[in-house]
Amino acid sequence: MTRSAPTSDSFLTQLWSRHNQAIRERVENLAEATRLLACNQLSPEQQRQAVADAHKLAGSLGTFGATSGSEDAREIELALESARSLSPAEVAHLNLLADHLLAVLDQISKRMMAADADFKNSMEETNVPYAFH
Amino acid sequence: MHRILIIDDEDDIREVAALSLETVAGWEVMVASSGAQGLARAATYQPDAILLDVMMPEMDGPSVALSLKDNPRTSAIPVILLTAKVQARSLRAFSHLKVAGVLSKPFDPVTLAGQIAAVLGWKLPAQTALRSAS
Repeated sequence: MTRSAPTSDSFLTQLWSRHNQAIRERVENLAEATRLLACNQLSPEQQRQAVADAHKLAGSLGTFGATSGSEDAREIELALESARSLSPAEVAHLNLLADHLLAVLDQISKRMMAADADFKNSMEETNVPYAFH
Repeated sequence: MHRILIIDDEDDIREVAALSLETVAGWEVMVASSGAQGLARAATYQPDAILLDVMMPEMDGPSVALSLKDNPRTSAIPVILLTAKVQARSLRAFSHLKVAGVLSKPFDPVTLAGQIAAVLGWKLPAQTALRSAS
């Protein structure tokens, strides 16, 4: 019996399980930064770190299938790195985007769990063990 | 078999890209987690191409690209930049680096090897080992 190739989801599931905690910490740091921004308590160093976190999330979430998460992170990055001060409405919007990113992480995790279950089922059906390495 | 060096400070991106290129294209992949480490590995291992992240702490991608061009041992190795900043202004800023191409983040692990192959004029194996989930 021929074993089918792993899907991109099953491939990413293995990687998500290894990196989701670090990605979640980045999102939580970003959410905290937007909350501090709303209270005018975000220091320049914290702002630089938030820009770096947003940049990394913009580059990685889409790779795990969450394109909207990458777009939200990019919007936060661009807003935080701009020299101009943000209006209260813009800051409130950034808070919403950060909250959305937390929801996006939960969506990715659910999708990865489902893909992992499908993958394991398909391996049981073919009765062939599969190791990524 | 092509040999490619990935230089990226982000663990998750580096690992996704490496496994993607190994699985989809069957290329031999080396990795480096900083610009300095990337320069050393490029000189030592002489890869056929380098996939280079733009925004890294301490030594960013453009600085690494210039250093690679300055070193006779690495100056001929084609470099592809990988960046989450894809605005036209950012792309123009890379024009002096004489890189082979610029790819955007986030990337699709299934098509990344094809994008790199297209930039470098390489051929992919007819049947790849990774298929789309859709």
